[in-house]
Amino acid sequence: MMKIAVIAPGALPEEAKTAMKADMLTYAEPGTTLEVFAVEEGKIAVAADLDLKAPSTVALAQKIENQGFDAIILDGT
Amino acid sequence: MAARSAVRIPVVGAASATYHLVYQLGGKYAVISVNEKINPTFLRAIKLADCESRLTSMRPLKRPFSVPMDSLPYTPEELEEEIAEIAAKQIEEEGAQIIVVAFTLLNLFVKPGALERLSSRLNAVFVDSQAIAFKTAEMLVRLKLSHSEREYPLL
Repeated sequence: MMKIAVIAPGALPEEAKTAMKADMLTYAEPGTTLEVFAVEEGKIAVAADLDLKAPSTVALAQKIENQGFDAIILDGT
Repeated sequence: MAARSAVRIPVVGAASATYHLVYQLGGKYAVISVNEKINPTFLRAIKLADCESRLTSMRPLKRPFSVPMDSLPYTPEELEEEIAEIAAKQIEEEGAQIIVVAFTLLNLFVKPGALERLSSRLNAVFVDSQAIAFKTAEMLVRLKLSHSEREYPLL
């Protein structure tokens, strides 16, 4: 079992998160689960540099680790 | 990558994972961006990953993806065709062997199998950044590897 977290650079509609998850699960190992998180701070940007939102990203990464995830993917970096 | 100094679990940057894998797939690569305004951000990521020397060009789509996405700039068919047109120039004029469409959400806006079709049609390697980032994360977990505490001390 493996839990992967994806951090998107901005708030995404639920349908986009669902579609992302479905796409990634097509190539995931059996037993891997994933969740899509978003840095809510500021305006959404397509593939923005998450380091521009570093304080929020750091806080979210810590929360994700505390929730027992095994790895984090930063989209857009 | 400030997040790496906050946690001990692996933190994978989608761009750096992609460009480092691209270096194993061929000599020259090109990037197609979805919004010219964020090209400088993409170039910074490439420079940070030390993968600039084999980049032939970064060319944007004619109609940018921007937010909020109230209306999409392309139908799936149009988007695949425009990627093909830009990539053909990068391959023929610049000698690119690998094409990176710098858009982790690409698969939400094209029809399934688009990158495979493009690879076959243009005889070049098209890579999926989201898939590469995901498989890199899985590999790191499986190999019990994470980032260096010397480079990224917990702050």
